[in-house]
Amino acid sequence: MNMENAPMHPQAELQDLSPRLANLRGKTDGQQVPDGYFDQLEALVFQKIEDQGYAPAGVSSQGDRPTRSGFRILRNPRLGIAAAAMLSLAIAAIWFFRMQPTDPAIPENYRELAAALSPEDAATYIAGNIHEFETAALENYAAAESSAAETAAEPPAKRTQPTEELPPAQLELILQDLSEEELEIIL
Amino acid sequence: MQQQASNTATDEQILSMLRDERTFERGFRLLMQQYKQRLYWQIRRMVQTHEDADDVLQNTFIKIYRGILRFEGKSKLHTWLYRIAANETISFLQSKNRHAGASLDEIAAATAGRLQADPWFDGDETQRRLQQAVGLLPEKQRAVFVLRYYDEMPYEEMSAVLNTSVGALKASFHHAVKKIETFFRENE
Repeated sequence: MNMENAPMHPQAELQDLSPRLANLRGKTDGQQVPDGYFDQLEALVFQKIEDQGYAPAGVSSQGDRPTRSGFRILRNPRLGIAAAAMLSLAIAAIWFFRMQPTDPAIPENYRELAAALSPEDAATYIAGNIHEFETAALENYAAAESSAAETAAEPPAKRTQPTEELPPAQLELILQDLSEEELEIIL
Repeated sequence: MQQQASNTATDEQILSMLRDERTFERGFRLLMQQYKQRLYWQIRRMVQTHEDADDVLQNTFIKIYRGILRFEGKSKLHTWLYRIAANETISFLQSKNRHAGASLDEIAAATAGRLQADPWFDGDETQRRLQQAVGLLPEKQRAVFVLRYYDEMPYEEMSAVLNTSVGALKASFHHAVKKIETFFRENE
């Protein structure tokens, strides 16, 4: 038995702990890979990168990539739904801030800010902290706001916002599924 | 139009290509060629089935693609890559287990079922049992076990990959081995 580097060598360490596992290690573990898998992998990864419009963070010189990312929203129905939802939530949240500053659904830290913020600042602030808000509460306010707007405006001929057809739970799932980058694009 | 580069590029050469926009894509392809198998097997041994390993590996490479320009060279490139793969795999396992809420017996049975259904596993009964036992380990302990048992990774390097002290890693590995040993004894 070689004891020279026994304390550090994984095999010797394992032999001490469990001879059974030490003996098992050299044998085939039965895990296989489909033929050609590794040859196709690069193409699959690049396809995904292309489809999702991903770009390496920190590259300022790759001019076309951010633009492509920006247009992605127009091609992707899921992002379109989420964008409409986020816009609706942001508008609702501004209204929410201004009209209901004492409502317990507003996170306490933000109540003081609410009074001081302009609608633009509020929108920016909400965009950066949207996860702090209860989606369901914001949606209720979004609905309340849009029905108030409708009664004040012309007859509600067509309402095509996809969010209105989505149950809150489904909308929440879509929002949770989006990455931070996607949310940034939307907002 | 792809895979023109040789497989013998050093990390330094790869990084140098990645820093130049004109050679970025070629550098990234080289990086994938160089590391795809090592990362695949690290992931596969943690998630156990090929299908899951494929998902996690692709996501890992996408994370690497998006983050590679933030790599500052404070650690070795392969350490950084292993770290991303380990984090991605642990997150995957955690999200999978979050929905499960199953007992240890149920988890072992589920692992056995998944291996049976996986056309890319043809291990014998002992290997199947080992996979079942590994499947019972908590996510991070599973990572420690896989990196040490299969990859023989030194604890110092593992410490950088998993952001955990060497002492804690040793304890975790010893504990994992004992659990697996117990599982074997109880299922003989």
